[in-house]
Amino acid sequence: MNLIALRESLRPLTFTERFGLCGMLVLTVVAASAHWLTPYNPQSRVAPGYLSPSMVHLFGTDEIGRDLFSRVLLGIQFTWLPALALVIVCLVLGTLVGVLPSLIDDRLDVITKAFIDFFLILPGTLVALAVIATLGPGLVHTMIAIGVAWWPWYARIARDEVRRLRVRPHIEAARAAGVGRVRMTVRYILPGALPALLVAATLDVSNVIMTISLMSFLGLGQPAPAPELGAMTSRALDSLTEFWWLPIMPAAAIFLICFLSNLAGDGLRAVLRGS
Amino acid sequence: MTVSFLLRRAIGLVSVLLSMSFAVFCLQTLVPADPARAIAGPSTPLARVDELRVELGLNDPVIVQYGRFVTRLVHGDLGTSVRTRKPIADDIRRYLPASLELAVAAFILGLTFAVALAVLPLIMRAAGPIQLAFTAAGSLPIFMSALLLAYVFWFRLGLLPGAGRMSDSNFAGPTGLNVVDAVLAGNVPAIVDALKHIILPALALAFPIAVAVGRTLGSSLRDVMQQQYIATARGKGLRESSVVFRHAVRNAAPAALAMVALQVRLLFGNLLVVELVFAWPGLGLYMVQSLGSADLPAVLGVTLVLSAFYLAVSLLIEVSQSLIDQRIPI
Repeated sequence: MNLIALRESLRPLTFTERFGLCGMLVLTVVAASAHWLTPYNPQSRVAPGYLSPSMVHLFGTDEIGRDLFSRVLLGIQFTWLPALALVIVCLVLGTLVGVLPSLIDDRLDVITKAFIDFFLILPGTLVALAVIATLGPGLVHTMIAIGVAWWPWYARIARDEVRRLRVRPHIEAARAAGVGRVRMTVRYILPGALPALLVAATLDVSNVIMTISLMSFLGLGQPAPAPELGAMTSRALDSLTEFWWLPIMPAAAIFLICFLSNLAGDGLRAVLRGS
Repeated sequence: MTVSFLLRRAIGLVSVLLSMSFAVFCLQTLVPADPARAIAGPSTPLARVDELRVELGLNDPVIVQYGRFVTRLVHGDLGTSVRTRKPIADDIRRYLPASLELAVAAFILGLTFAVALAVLPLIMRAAGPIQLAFTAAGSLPIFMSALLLAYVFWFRLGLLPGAGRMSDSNFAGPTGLNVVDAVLAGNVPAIVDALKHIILPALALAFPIAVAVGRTLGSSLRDVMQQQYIATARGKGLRESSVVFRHAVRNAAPAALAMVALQVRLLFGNLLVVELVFAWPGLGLYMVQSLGSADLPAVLGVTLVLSAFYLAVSLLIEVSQSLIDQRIPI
């Protein structure tokens, strides 16, 4: 796809989809540079506790007087970057497994399908709970636990796409021209399979973030001092009626991230449909 | 659909269940938390805890424990819960109907919303904001939407009850599904009471389903509406609603059904949170409590039963996909 084609396919985007795609970019930049953007030190006491939101402390302060805005900014980093990393790792891993038969030998398909189906059929959350219970809570452990049940979705999409593309004329033409397996997979099949995978991945970011925050809510997420958004929300739930900003602000950040990634997923799908 | 297909799938399901039970069992035996200590409490002397460990068979090799587990499993015995001290099969029988009722209600609500969400842009013009609102609702983390619903409708407005299944906790019937039991008994106040209790947790569970399924259905509907047979249907003078529901939705359904299968899977996690928030006495709450007290046999039993349940549902969905669209091979 060259640049002009890309620009033309971007045209049918609606305002909200554009908003979502741009929002995701901004979010990634904010998450990556959170350390320099925080107005106060997010990990130490900077004011009296339980200050309500004001111009000085945008989101108020928490129970020990830490600036909530700074903590939420850092929380975006602690939530967004791991979720992004997890989705990318699962995407790469799943795609690899999915195209393996096409890459090596078509007879492998029976084995990879059984392998994918086995992981696919596991009830993900329950397995994740078991894994975390075994390894203990922590960022890496949570990601492993979620990843175990996550990658097969991309593997399945990749496999389905490969099977769909293999009977297309341009692949047959390439095969007739004597293109080898590896080159066929990388140059002819993968580009065709990528749109479906990317859309699924974009829409999935919000699912991953929700799963991470769900784990935190059940007390299986990152341990206490970490400013992970889900954990921050569940730790402050008791103060919902008195100090609403404590649970609401981090939850609103989760909501914003998920909302943007959903809009972006729709936008990306619209873009790739055009191409 | 052939018998051999169903047979093949049944064998496949059993082998998945077996290997899964082994995988989860292995994980669980590695858990550092000590169930014997959990039962005995922190102040019990070590000797008594050791006795308890022997009593519970926790000192045996893993493979022996697993063998014992599978043997009993075949006899329908899931073991005894460390926490409630009752047979887990009985516990599950007791809590399953509540979760089943909630899940079914959530799917009825969710799928209704999903169809509305997918079809709206085709029938009316100003559907954009409605769709946006749905996407927003689906972007709420599940504990937040559950808490917001409870906060607004129960705590603030007092319109709906926010905890439990019935005002009368002794209500019981043959099926264990309160709404069905109330209808069977012809007890109108009980029907209203049961519905009032189920609506908030079901709504909280329905939002993610509605958004995910609605989005998939909507996108494949958009594709289907470009097809020539839709133009033909319009050309022969059918009403637009008939074109959409009779011709388009049917062809767009298989993709949406695949998303429904995913939602059943995601439901288990959401069920834990929603049952916890609404004090709904189902398997989710049972699971949370079991996790909290390191009750391995109970966690294992519930995981297996829910997995079996999920396997059955996914098989059902696969079959109905190919019933709707005969071109999809099974």
